[in-house]
Amino acid sequence: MTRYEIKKLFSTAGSKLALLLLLAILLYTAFSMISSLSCPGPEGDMLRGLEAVAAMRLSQKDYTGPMDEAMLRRAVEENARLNALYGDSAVWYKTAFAPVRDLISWTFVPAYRDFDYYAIDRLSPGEAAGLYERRAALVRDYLRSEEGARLYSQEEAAYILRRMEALETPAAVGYTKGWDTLIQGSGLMLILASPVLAYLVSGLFSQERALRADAIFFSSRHGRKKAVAAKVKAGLLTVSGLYLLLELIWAVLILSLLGAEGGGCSVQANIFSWRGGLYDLSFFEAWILHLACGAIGALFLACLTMLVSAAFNSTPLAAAAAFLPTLLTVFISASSLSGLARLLYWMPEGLFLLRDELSFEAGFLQLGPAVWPMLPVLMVFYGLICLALPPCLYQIYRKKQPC
Amino acid sequence: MELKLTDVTKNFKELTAVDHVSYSFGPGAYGLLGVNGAGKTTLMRMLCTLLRPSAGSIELNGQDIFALDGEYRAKLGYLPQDFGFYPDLTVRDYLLYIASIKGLRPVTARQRSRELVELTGLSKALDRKMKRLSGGMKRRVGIAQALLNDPEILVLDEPTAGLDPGERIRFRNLLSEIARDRLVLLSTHIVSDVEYIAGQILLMKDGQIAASGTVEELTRQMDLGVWRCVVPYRQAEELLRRYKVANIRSAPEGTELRILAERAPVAGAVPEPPTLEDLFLYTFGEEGNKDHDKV
Repeated sequence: MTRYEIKKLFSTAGSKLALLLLLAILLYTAFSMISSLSCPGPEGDMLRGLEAVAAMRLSQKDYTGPMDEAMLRRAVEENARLNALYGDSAVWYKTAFAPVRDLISWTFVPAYRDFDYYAIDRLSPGEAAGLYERRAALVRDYLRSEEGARLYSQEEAAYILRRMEALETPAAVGYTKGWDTLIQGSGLMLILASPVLAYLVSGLFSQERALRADAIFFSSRHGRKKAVAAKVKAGLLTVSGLYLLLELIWAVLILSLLGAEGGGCSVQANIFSWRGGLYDLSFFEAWILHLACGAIGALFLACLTMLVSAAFNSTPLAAAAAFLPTLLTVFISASSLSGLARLLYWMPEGLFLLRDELSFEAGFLQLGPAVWPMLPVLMVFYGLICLALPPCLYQIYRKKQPC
Repeated sequence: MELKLTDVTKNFKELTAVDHVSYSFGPGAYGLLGVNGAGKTTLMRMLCTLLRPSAGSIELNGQDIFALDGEYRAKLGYLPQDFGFYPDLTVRDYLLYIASIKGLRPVTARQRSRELVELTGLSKALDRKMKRLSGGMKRRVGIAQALLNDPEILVLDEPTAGLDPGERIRFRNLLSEIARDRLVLLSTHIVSDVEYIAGQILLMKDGQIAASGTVEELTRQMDLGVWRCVVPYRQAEELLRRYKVANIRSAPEGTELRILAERAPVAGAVPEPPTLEDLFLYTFGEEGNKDHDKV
């Protein structure tokens, strides 16, 4: 039964177009992500795309491993040597320790939101060794600032500092463009692809009515039980299967083009979660987490779409439901009502944008003195919805009366 | 096997589509006749558990069919008037899918599909997409799907619509054979089909079974005779206004009419044995005649 339901889903021209669209989204995301990568070239120019990747992979080998005092000192000393040797044209040679330099640029600054590209030029090797302490101080000062106090409660601030202090140091660094792009690009790809995935199942229930095939369906032996369950199963299998396939193709494509090294490096040593990171994860672990979050997000959208399809017998309405969370996010973002802003933390897009969710800036859920960061909250919240919706869907559809 | 309807009523808001129908079906072929809106389709949909009666009960061998649920539907084959299908599936996949939701094992499903496509003359169209089939072929697929589970109760709503005369004859023969040891309930506007296939006729009017019995029993109850006469064209117009006319045919010597009347409508009119079509006209009058014209 399930096999034929899946066959029915993929037999339509719309589904075939949707599959092509998914492929186009994947290729477009890969192209735009790779072409956005850049690093300084030897002639004072900028290397872009795969050329930049090749240069970074080659030069950053020497700065792979724990970002301890020795590595920090080495980076600062090397920076000073290159400045003395090449002056303004030293940028090309600095590519080798660019990941370390970037973290210094985000840390040895006056305030939390500042960035100073030349911070490393002013640092002594001894000062650079205090990188982790400086990061903690920066976050602590931010949480005490007017903005910090407005955005985070005392309990949340205490939680952030506790988690930050618990992060394992020294963090492992190295060339991680492959894994970084894998996670970041996959999130962007999923924002575009998940409504398409949901669209694929939007007609699963409503098409029976539209095609006037529901009379035979419901008058068959399993029409009110197993056949309905098979529909739900087919929808979930289609979405999860295509999701995994998409992620697998994406991973093979990106890691083969940008390099698979750096999977063991720590995400806290990456710019996106250096100052706000709450999690001690390697890039590989972060990718696994991203896969789980993405699956929950994609399944949630699919379940929502199928629910509308079953409840209202309308494929266009169901397809529109797939875009509802995105539209809601845009509406809330554009809205001037400050009360709505906190709702943004709860949007399912968070499940796709893992890089953002690893930071404390993704928000918290606070119940009394207890505080939870939004990432596990979103996972549990949408995970429970994903568990609850299929039985609801089953109950709604099996009681339907054909036209 | 007994499928028993007791005081079955179905209301749609203000409208009573089926009004206190009681009837007991046993094995055999039953023809359901009535004009549009008489409640035939609603009655059939209730028999297929697609609609619940507003009042009354439908029981199979003493057990409520809605309580029997899948157990009852396992014995059921249904071809709706508006036969819906999946346009992008091939005939083979469509039949195998329906077989799966009817609970047939894959091996049985494949074997049964093969038998039925041969029986319905669809062997060459097996791998053709449903949307590429002609109207008659689609109808034949509809008939095949209804027979997949070798049903004990076969409910067919307008099964011969869209079939060419050859297909209709083949289908009539097939149904007559099937009806020997099971219940076949057939609704159609094509009166001759009912006449050929059904042993028992149910005439439905305003949601009720107005009359039931064999063709002979029912025609015997008619208090009008059937007359054939040939008259000049002008006189034919007048007779059309005065009597229920079952058939008009141009003949070289004038217009040949088949008239329902107590006594001979004109001198020289010849009495004829009544047919089911005459009965239809007798029961439903001009309303039925109008509807009959559509066929």
